[in-house]
Amino acid sequence: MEKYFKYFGIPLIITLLTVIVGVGTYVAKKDDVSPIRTNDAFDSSVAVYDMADKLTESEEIALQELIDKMSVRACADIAIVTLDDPELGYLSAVREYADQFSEEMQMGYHGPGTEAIVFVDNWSRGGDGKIHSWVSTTESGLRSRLTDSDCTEILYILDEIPSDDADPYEQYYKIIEEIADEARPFNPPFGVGIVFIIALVVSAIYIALNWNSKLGKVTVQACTYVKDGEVDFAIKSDTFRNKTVSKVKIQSSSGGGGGGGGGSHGGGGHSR
Amino acid sequence: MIFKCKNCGGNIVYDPDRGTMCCPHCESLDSEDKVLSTEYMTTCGNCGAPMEGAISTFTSATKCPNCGTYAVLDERVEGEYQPELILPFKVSKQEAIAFLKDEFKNRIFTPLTFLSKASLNKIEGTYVPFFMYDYDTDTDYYGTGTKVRSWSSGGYRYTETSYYDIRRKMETDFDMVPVDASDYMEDDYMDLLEPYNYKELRGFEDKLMSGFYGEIYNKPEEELEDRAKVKIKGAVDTLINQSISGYSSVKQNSMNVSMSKKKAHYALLPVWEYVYSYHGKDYKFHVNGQTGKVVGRTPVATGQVVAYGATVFAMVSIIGLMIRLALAFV
Repeated sequence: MEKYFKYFGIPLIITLLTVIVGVGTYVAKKDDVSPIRTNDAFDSSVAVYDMADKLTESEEIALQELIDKMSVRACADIAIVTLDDPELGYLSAVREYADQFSEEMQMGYHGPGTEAIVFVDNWSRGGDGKIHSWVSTTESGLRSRLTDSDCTEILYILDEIPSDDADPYEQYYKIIEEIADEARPFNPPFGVGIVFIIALVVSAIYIALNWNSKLGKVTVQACTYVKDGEVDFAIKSDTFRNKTVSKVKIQSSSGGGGGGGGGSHGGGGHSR
Repeated sequence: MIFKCKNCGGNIVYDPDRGTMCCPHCESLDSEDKVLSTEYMTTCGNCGAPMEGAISTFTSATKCPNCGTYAVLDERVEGEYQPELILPFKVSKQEAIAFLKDEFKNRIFTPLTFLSKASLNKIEGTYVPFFMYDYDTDTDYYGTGTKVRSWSSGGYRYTETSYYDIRRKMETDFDMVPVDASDYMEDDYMDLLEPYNYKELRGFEDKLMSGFYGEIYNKPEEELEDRAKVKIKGAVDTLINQSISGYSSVKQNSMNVSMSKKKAHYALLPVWEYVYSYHGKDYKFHVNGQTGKVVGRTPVATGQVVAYGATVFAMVSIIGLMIRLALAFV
């Protein structure tokens, strides 16, 4: 046992320190994970605004229940707005509407202007013949978790709606769930399974490296038994014979990319 | 024959630390008195106990299982069995144990009793019979080497390959290439114990064997010379390859190695042997009796593998989970 503890002394101390840091972080931040909502200005019990009349009453109730639950997980006020407004027939207009909605409704988990997420889906096809949607986010902490690209990616779920007459409830439900998952303050970067797989691999490598039942090293050299250690070459020649040259055309390739912008609101849009 | 102390009558042995004969009872140096066996040795020359169990077909030096007296079998160090050369032990028993401990102390999966005092005290010194061969070699080598150069120009990649004829004629004499002549000692173990420093070889003296076990050659030198040839061929290949450099690739077209044996020397070389029994199997470890080089394959204790592996798994898991916990709030 003495050898065991002597061998693992430093790693055990490192493990202990990691436990202290991990548990300490959890204790210090646990209130952030499930904080109490402190905004009286926005009535979060009315978070589904189906102005395009795309949802049934029971679906609205179900989505409201989901939003009640997901708001706590995301630590953010969440609202869904459906529109059928031809004047908002382009993406930037929908974006502006969503940002204004958040401000005018005084949304925010910790008061107006704090953590809020508004999902606007305008069913009126614009000049480009597309339906435009936007997820607006407020507050820097929330925006760092639920990034603009996350919002854009999540909205691809809307492509699953088969037609303009179809019921979007199922897709809306999925969108709210995914938004809440991305936005939640307790958001581990990797799963528990990954940890155990890595631990298993590390243990296997450790065992393999320490298995070491080798016989011994070869310490005899080629000239060990050569008389006087001298190798005598009667002939030692390297004669150039000929050469060949081949050529291959070099293939060229090119590529490119783009960037984004900033503001008090963030979010991402989608057109279908 | 046994070597008795003129002063106290104790059994005198060769002491590697002092490099001379020493009486372990009264500490007298070089006070040995050689007592020859009057007939083929069947009983101990000191206590008279039967020696059958301590003497096998090839034994030349042994220890009485009853009184611990070291004896050299007269008829197996004389005549056709008399070695030409002997390399006396330079590493003492305690030093051999220290070399073993140093080699294996960091091997965490070896059984805990492997380096225990009780186990290590079983280590014994043995003079292993070797034939050492002198060979003259003549090597003719023909090969083709290529040098490759690449560059780019005008939207094209050019590759130039130059071909060279490589010719080597090497005349090399190999002296004292050792091949163990013991069936008991495994060849790969003995090969790995090399090299020995031949400058310390001496003409054979039987007294140097007192204090150690010993064997006569198990096979005549003619039967073992093929192993010497294999060793020499390997060395020639390496020497030729070392003389060829600067090429991108080398292809051997032909190589002819002719070997001519000059002489074979019969010699005894010193080896410490430690046999460790674990789960019914014997694991052999050898220490070069001159240089201290250690050779042997350790057993693996499953319990220790599980304990150490599980600890690493637990620690990595805990650290991973804690990192995950901390990063979840970032």
